[in-house]
Amino acid sequence: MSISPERSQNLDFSSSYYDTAQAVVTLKDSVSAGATSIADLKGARIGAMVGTTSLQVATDAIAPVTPVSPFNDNDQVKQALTAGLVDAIVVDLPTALYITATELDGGVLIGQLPAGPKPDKLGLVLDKGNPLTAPVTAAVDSLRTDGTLEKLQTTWLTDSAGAPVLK
Amino acid sequence: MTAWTPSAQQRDRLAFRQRRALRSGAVAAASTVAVTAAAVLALTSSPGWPRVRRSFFDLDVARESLPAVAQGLWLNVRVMAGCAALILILALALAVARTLRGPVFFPLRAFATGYVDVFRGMPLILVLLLVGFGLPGLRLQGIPASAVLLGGLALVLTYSAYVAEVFRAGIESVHPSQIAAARSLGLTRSQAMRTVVLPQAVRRVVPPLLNDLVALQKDSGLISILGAIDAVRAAQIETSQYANFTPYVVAGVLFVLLTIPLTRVTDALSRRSGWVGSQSGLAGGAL
Amino acid sequence: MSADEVTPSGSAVPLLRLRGVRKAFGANVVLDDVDVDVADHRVVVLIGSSGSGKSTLLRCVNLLEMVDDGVIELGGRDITDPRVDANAVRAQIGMVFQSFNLFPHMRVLDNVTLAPRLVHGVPRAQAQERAMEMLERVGLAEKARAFPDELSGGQQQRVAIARALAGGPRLMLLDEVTSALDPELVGEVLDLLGELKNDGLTMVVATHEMAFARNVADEVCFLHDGRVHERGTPEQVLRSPHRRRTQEFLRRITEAGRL
Repeated sequence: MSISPERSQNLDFSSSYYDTAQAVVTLKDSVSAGATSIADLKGARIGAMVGTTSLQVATDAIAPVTPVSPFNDNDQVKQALTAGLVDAIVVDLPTALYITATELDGGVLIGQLPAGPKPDKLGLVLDKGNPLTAPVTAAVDSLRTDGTLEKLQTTWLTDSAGAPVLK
Repeated sequence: MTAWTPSAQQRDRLAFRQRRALRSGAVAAASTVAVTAAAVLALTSSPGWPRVRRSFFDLDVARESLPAVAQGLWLNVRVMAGCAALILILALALAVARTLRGPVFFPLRAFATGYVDVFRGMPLILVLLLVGFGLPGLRLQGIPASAVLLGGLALVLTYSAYVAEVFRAGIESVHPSQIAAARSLGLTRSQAMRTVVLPQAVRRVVPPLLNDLVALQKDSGLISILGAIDAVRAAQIETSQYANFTPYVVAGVLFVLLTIPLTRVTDALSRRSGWVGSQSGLAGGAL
Repeated sequence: MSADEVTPSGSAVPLLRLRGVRKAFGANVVLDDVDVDVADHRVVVLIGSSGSGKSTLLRCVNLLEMVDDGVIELGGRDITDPRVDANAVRAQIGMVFQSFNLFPHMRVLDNVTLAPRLVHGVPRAQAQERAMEMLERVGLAEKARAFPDELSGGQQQRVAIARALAGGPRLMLLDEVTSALDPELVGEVLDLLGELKNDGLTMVVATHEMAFARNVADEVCFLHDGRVHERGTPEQVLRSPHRRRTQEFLRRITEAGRL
């Protein structure tokens, strides 16, 4: 679950084990289907949900010629892609993996975008005041320092999942 | 005729009225100042004022967000202007279609009536969603998948229905004696419509039309639902960036500033002479 | 087609002929078997109380209303035939209305040039020249650039007459053209009509102005109950009417001070 100040008031979080990345999704018959780098996306019409990290990262990382088109929610972002109002969309990576696997007909995950300044952070959840919070946090921290977390990410959440980091 | 100079009595009357006018003016000015001062005092001394001022009236945020919001507003203006022109044409065609007589024109009349019924019944937002997301999905040749064009199309389709009814009311308000006079000169129905009825009908409905234009200016922002960035959407983006509501206030102020000239133009136009605005209406005795 | 066509028997065909004309609005029979002849260059005046059908008769002649029965012939041609082009017929007839009906969004000159340009195909410059002549004729040349709402009632009516004349009609129909005018303005319009008669214009005039009828009419028709109740010269009908209803009507008019 994403760590947030509001939630922290009622729940205990371990330290973060994963920063949610943003990913670019398109349709296989879209002009952007063959994109392999950020430069390939600069001329495309990009869509993202308003008020989210996705919009911010899309604007900062891709900086397309046509400003990113904001939509009210991720459903409409998806509809815009299928309708052809935009050539590619930016959503967070878990959502991207899900919709390309199940919801989008002919959906293609092009890749991840480099992380922005304030990515969503995922942490393990425990009851408020649970005595195990501290040891769990320590465990996560050690996985991070010895590079296990990074290895897991690279194995499962980048190239082998079809989500290379776009440069 | 000898030159007239006011009598002493008239001079007295004038002097009295002048003094009274001055006094009323002074009272009005004083009370305006007092009420304004009281309102400002009440506002700024309310407990939540500092926070509200920071959230809604932050000058720095206003300055930073102004360019983006102004650019969004420029889109509003362009959409309004472009759509207004198309709406006027389509609405006029629909209104005239409904007045055509003769059995050969029945399909046209029926279509116009049906069109008006449908597009006055459907909420604008529905039309936007159907046209914006649905139409490109048909993958028809020549349909541009552009938020501005599709959104503009939805606006034109919907507003034309309303404006068509305004035009039709205007056409029907032209007195039948005008048509009788035109026909008795030998003009055909379409000549009479073109040269006598429509010019008068259009002049009559200018005030309600300008009203619709002001409404259109606001509704033009709804195309943001299709991904275009208008003033409100730009303000929304700025708001989430600064975590401050001032950009919304900026957008609001800009919209009001845009509307005021429009309403002044409406007032000026409906007063101009030579247009059918003079009190007696038509130049006719026994009307 | 010339107005005075000679039939085989040698008599001239009247310019306007109504035979058995009937017109009802729902259950209200306004015209019932009306016969009227109007010869070329003659002035026929229609009198009768309100609702007696004078306006309806004129509107039927101008094809603004379709007759329910009967025939109307203009210059020997049946204009009530549905195959006839009504617009072309109306272009040959000029009509002036009680409420003037000038086009308020156009200047006086444009009011007068509209029909010549659109209906008779006259080029703009020529139409304007002719319009100015018409306006001179009715004494309003200096008002050519004014809008109708800047004119008095009498002036507007004279412009309406000029407008109707601009198309060069064979026949003029005038429907109570002074009834909406202030008394002091009535005279200028009636004087104009008298002049037009002297110029040889054929007119059918519905009016309450009995003095005008007496001075200018060649024939007076009294309409009652949808028919021509009595007809004759002004002396016959107005001075010594035969029929009771005519006498009653004229007595009422005298009492109202209009004789």
